[in-house]
Amino acid sequence: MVTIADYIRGESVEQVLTVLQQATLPVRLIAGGTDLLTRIEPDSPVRVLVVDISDMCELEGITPTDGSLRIGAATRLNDLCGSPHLAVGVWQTLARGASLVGSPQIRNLATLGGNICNASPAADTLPPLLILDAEAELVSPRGLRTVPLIEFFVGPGQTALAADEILASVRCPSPPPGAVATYHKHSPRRAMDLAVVGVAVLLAPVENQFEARIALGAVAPTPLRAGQAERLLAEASSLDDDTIAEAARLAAEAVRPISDVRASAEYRTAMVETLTERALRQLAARLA
Amino acid sequence: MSREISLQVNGQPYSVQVEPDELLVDVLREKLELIGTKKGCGTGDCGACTVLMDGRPVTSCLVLAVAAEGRSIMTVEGLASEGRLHVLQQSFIDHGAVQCGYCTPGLLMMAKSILDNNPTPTEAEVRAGIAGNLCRCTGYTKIVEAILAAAEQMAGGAK
Repeated sequence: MVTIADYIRGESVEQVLTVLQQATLPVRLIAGGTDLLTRIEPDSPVRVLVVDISDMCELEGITPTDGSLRIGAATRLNDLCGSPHLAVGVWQTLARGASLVGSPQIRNLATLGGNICNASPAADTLPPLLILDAEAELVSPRGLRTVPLIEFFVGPGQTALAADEILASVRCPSPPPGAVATYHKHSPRRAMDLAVVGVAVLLAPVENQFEARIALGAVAPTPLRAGQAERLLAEASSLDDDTIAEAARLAAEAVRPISDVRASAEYRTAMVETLTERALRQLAARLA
Repeated sequence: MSREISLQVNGQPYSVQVEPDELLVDVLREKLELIGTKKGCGTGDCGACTVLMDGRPVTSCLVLAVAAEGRSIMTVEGLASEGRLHVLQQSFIDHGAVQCGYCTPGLLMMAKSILDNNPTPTEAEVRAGIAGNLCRCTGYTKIVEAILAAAEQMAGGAK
């Protein structure tokens, strides 16, 4: 919990970087602010300076280049849901993830960069971004550095962002030709709920074999990729029932879930296997 | 550090002194005395405090007042004009979509946004649109009927 001691509206990346360097109070960057504002406590001893980067054009919008997409960190989730760039092919998976966060009101405030930097293992945009091989573009006084998104998450709420750095954008490379993808969110309610388990899968034909990417949310301290399951599928010559079942089993082996009020670790593990199998069957049928 | 912000509410310009941690919902209610907007949970879960900010529905308990500087806000007080209820308000009354009334201002603003973007929504689109507005009295059937009936009436030209 924190107290907001002061507030600055960011006007440019340069100005925000200067504020980060010179601030005498701990800084909390917000865009939508929907995560921070639920953690305010008037008498908290942690007094922070809020720097609001929601109104900076240079951090907003979706830019396509040769099949790849760059998405500004301050792009609102509802603008992702409604974007024509995300209405086609595997990009729809990211639009769907964004559409499952909170309520319409929250998605008008919340941003992609915020959903990433809040680093909840259950965030609905993260498994879709991970199967798109997204990279985080970080800016600091030292310049720009690019970090694969899978390495950006260090723990629950913890990222690789340095104290003087901001997430400027996310870049997703051009997806493999013919790829199909899906995101399955498992939660007791259809709206206003966090994922108990989130499974995103991308499948693409590569000559006579397949490339598979499987990302799992809410089942470990960070969202993760199921590497062993992906390798099994890459080496398989066909996507028959046994191969899919074995891949799903390997995906369930990759998780380290906790038991909490939403679900037990055993239940989460079982649901990873079920949803991975379901997603793979669906996608294999679409490729057939 | 407190500061003065300027914003438009229901078409009227306001200047108001706010603290950096004050929420838009509290400033609307306590400083501008627009108490139509209700504060339910205060954490963005119930939707009672929904207002339109630059035309988009937002939960005003998740907006810092200082961040509303220069913006245009519409609250439930802005719906009626010239002493006549908005079609949505009349429809909520006609369909018994109001019981305790606490969720109603937020639902009306959300409903307005739904119809602004899609004048002829399906029932499923209305239900998805109000997914962030909790009602614990009537249930949602009458509310959904009221919104669909208002859409039909507005499409018929009677605004």
